[in-house]
Amino acid sequence: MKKMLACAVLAMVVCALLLSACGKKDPGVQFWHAMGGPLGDTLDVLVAEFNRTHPGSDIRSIGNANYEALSQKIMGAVAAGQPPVLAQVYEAWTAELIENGSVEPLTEYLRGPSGLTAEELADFLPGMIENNTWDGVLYSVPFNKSVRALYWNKDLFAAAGLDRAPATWDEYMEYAGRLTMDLDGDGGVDQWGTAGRIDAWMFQNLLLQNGGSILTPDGTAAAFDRPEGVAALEFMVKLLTEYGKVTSGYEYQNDFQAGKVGMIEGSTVSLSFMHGKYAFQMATAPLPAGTQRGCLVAGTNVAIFADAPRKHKDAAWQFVKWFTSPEITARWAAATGYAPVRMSAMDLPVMTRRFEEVEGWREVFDQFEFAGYEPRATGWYAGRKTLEETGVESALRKHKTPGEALAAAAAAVNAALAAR
Amino acid sequence: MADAAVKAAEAGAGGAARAAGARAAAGHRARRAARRVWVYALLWLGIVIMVMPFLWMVTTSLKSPIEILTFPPTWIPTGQFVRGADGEWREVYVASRDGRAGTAVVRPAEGGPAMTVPLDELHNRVRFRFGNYAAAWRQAPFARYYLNTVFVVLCTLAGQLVTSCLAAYAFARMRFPGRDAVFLLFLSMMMVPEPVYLVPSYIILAKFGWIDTYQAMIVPWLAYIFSIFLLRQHFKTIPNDLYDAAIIDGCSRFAFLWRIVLPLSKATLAAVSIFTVVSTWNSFLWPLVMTNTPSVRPLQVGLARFAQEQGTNHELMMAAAVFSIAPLVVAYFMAQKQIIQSLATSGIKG
Repeated sequence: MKKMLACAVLAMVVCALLLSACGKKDPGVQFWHAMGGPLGDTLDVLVAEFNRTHPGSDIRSIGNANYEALSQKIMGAVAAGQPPVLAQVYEAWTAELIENGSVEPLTEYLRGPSGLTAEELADFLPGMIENNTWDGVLYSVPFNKSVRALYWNKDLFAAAGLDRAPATWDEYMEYAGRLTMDLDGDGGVDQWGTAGRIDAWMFQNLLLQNGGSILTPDGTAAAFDRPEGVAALEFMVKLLTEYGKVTSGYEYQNDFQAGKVGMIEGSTVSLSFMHGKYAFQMATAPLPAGTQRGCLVAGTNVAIFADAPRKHKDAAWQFVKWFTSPEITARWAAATGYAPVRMSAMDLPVMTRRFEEVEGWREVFDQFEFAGYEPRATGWYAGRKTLEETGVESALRKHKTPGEALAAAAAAVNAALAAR
Repeated sequence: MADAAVKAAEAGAGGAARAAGARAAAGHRARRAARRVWVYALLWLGIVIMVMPFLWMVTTSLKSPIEILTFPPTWIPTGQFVRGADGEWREVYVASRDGRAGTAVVRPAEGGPAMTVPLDELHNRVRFRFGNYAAAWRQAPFARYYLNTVFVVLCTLAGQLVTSCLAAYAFARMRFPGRDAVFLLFLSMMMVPEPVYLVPSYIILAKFGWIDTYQAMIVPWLAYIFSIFLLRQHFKTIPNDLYDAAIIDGCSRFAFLWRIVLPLSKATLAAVSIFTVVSTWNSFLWPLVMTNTPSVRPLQVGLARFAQEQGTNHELMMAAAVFSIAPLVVAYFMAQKQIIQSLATSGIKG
């Protein structure tokens, strides 16, 4: 017992000496993000390249696993008066951070010697600058933005006598029906037309395609329970329950990769996660059109924190400007599946090569022409969850009809918005 | 004749009695055997339930990303191979099978155009992909993460044993006003979930300037209510007579704790140590939020690198999980006897 104790103490002292020898450090220009896997790898490479090509720069890429942990960490750091210099933020977080004065307005940086010209600002994808502007002031810059794409299995389509992706809702439903099969003749379905997870994203995209909107124009009440929304949810329930497999997480993506599902909707970043993990010929396509075409932009922006030292804030701005330049955003997009945030990036070789490699990929990004954004109200971060659980989930599980489910979700969202 | 009949009858009766006795004994044995079969069946069920996830982790860590998603799942990592014209086996991925035509569309694993091959030319061959381990190890500075985890675990363990013994002794054997109220307050703190106190804790640690240091992972966990609770319950079982005798012999309170109580509590101390080591080793959210740089981050934070919302690299994740828990498993087998004894005494199962 005593010997063991002595050994342990000795080991700890040795460890402490070894570790403390590695020294305590200057925190550098901390960039907090939630990028992991292939996304984190790509980001680390680009950050290292920026530091190499910009002498004196010390951007530190600090991964925080997921947005939930990142948001808690930012909240704690801001409350303690020790925020990072730069961080990924959703619009709803930015709105809250603006309220307590924690994020730096970017007006001065835009107009400064290393600012952005009007042409450069106009080169950002439609709606992106407006979406990061509050009361005429730019507070954040689009960073990792994605839309949904339709991924389809060309081999299964060919076997069902189909040679292209559905372009309209009617075709979507019809193709899904034709792809749903009982391959071994045992009376049970073993190949599905489509698959999806229980989430608000698919519904919100369908809603836009059906001419609906998420909230009323003034952002004070739910609008997703109007007839356009009810019809969108009815379509989703029919598609996924009759010809689809519904999973609660991203397992539906695995079923598609395993070749048991004809087509799925997924974020454009899913491409980098599926890479090399399927054996069939895959192609992509924009989302089918309802009464109109439509898609919802997802993903975060980056904001600079007001409390950081001036020198660090300047360095962070330099990094953001570099990262969103056409060349770099194109490389980021080609490696990860996120959208390049600049329109001119679409015609750079690194992107055109990607468009050749992945069938339909250019048309997927062309969706930005009619892209919509989620409400920026601080309450919407919770509101989306309500829509997902009270609305989409209870309709998909057939506990309620789509109309009842959306009415219940709208009531809850309205109460939450009114309470703010 | 009659005598013989009587004797025979007696013999018969005795034989019947003996036979009945033997039958009863046999019945008893049979019942015992049956009960034993049940017990073993249940134990086996337990083993299967406990070991399956481990086996699944190991086998997944040796598969290709495509095999992980195939259905039905395989227990032994297998690849599909076709024999080329040169007699060499080449690995292929199956895009689709056509049962009626008896063919499959396959793509060579090394890349190249798709081919249609007859199903009977497609062979399953066992293939362990140990390369996953090297690939996972290269993804992050795991050597440093190991060192950080071991250091944090050892410091937390040492601190927790000291504070828990002292606090548990006070709660179990000393009388002071409000003792039970304070103890109840302690217990109620166990019910507060981590995310609730995460942000306030961050603010405190940031004010200390401890963010991104070892202290942030060690100091807040130097006192742990569960350990105090477990030790207090055990200390309460030690008879008062021992205390009275020790005091009469001139023993101080501390000497009583050190020389009498602790030696009697070895098993409980072992149990507390195991819980502390395992929970500190596995702790994820706290170190993730409280640290920033790989130089202090522990293993669990490194593992998170493989999982993202839109998709997980299962084979790398599982390979990294295997080498992350390997030290715990090895330590368990080395100290198996003591651990089982301690868990049996503490009446708590892991």
